Amino acid sequence: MSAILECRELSKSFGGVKALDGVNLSIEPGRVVGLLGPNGSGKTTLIKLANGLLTPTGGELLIAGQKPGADTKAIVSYLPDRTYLPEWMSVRQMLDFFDDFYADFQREKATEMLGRLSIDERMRLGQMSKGTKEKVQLILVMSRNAGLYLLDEPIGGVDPATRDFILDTIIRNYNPSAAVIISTHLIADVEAVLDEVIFINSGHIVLQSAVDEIREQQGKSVDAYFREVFKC
Amino acid sequence: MNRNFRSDLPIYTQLVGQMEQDIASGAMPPGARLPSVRDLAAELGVNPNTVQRALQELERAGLIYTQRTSGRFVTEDTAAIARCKQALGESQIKEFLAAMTLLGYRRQDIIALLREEKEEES
Amino acid sequence: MLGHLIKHEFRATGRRMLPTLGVLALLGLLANLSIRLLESGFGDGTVLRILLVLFVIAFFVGITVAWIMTLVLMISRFYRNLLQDEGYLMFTLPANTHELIWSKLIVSTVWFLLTGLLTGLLMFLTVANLVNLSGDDLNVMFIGLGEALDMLRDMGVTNSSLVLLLVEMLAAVVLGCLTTSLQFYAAMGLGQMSATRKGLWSVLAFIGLSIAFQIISSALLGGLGNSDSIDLVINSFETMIQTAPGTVRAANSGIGITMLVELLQGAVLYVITALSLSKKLNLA
Repeated sequence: MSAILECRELSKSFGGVKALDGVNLSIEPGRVVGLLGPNGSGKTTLIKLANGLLTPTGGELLIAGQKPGADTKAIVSYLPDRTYLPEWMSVRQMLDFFDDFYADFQREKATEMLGRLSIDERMRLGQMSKGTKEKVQLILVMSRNAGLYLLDEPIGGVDPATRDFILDTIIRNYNPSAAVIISTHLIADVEAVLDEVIFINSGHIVLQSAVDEIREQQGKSVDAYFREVFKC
Repeated sequence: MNRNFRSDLPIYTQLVGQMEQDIASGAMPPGARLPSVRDLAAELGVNPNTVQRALQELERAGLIYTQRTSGRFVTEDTAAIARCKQALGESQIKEFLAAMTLLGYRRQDIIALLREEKEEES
Repeated sequence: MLGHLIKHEFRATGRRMLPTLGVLALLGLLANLSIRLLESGFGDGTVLRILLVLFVIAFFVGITVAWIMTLVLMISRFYRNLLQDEGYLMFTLPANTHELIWSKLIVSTVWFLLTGLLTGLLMFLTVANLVNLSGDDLNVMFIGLGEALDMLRDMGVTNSSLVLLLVEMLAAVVLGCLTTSLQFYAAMGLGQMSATRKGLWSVLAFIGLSIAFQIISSALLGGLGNSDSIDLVINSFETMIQTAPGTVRAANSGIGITMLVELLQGAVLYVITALSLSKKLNLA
């Protein structure tokens, strides 16, 4: 199987500071991958590069064999680490928007999920609490039948019930032939839904391994192993 | 089934164990239809591939079977279920005996203790 | 994709611009009504007349406000929608940077033109009202215009050169709108590269770009003035304007040259905008 995401000697500097340094990695379709690392380790930089929001300083990053551009954006579904939808737009206008721009957007799916949370489609994003906004964002992103889902800190700062809702939504909705990358520093919370983990620290890939392998070989959870690897 | 997993074993192994127990105890009766992989995964809060792997393991053990169109079912082969129950029972006893031996009990002491326990119950 | 981008850009800007233009039209009509009433001596010697005068003033204030709104909206749509949090949505759409820039350019130009058209129309109405223009007067004007055109034709000015002049003037207006927007876009494109003070750097970049173009154009003019070619140009213009068709041709080429310079400036600004957004994008 060919990789959906591949990095070769990928580097990115910001004014001389290296955020990513010679990263090599390859992610196969059909996997749920945790991109794990402390804050400032390069997770968001990597995800932004994959979305074409940043341009590499060195090396390359390929999505399904192509450099990030309009074609790759059509198959990548991205959840940024912030609220990013226009405040003045209503949920219905947002659905129209996704419908117009993404050929793989399944509107019925989004409508159904919104209905289950009893979110009124006439409501404007500006009228919602931060938590509701984040749920709407996740629903829109997961209603796409994408080839690669890039979820940046989807469970950062949410309560346990919301966390379960988020993970549940991800598991129930991702396209099974797609890869899902979840970046987070809250490992214990996501560990059970992951196939694979990538440990990243100071712009370097420290480890890429199957979760089962870590548990079998190390005899401990990924969370415990992570704490051991990143012990300060 | 619960969402709490031990941290030192692969999750799929733990899923297999839980489901074997449910089948042996009859919580999942013979011929019962299993939820879809995705629903099971969401319900348990685990990765669908993990569920898939566990189900394959159970299928190899002959405890569940797949019908191409309608999904997965618990086997109706009661002999197979009985064998599974037997195996689970044996391993429980082995663990128990090992623990008792560690405490310094000999076989006859253990049997005596069990008898006593039974009398107290009745 | 460009079509969808333009559609949604109209959706986003229309909710501000349509009410603005609507209010402006209303103010214009109110002002004209007031002028009529004032002239008819309505409510002589009462406070009512002050109110009527205020309506007329409100209309002129309204024009200024409408133009400022159009300009501010052009700037804020680019800044907020592309360079702040909403940029995460816009730059991950399956569209390329050129489509994003053009959708903003086209829509802001349309609003500039519509604001201009409405302002022109209302101003004409007001002037006509002030000088008590009647239907007959309009007729006379049209007939006069027709006669003037006939005269030009008699002097050898072709229809096509007049049409060309009109088209050129329209194109120059559109180009002016595009270049104006682009100068703001390029400045913001440069400013967003700063990690912390994007707004401040955008303002500085705008001032810098203005100064740069000023220097370049004066250097060009200076260079041209010192060379012999300027005499050649002046001479050729002088000979041209001795006949009527020549004057039209002179106007044609005059606007043409101005447009060429503006086109060049616009192209440079466009390249700066596109490069800073595609290669050096730095969303906060």
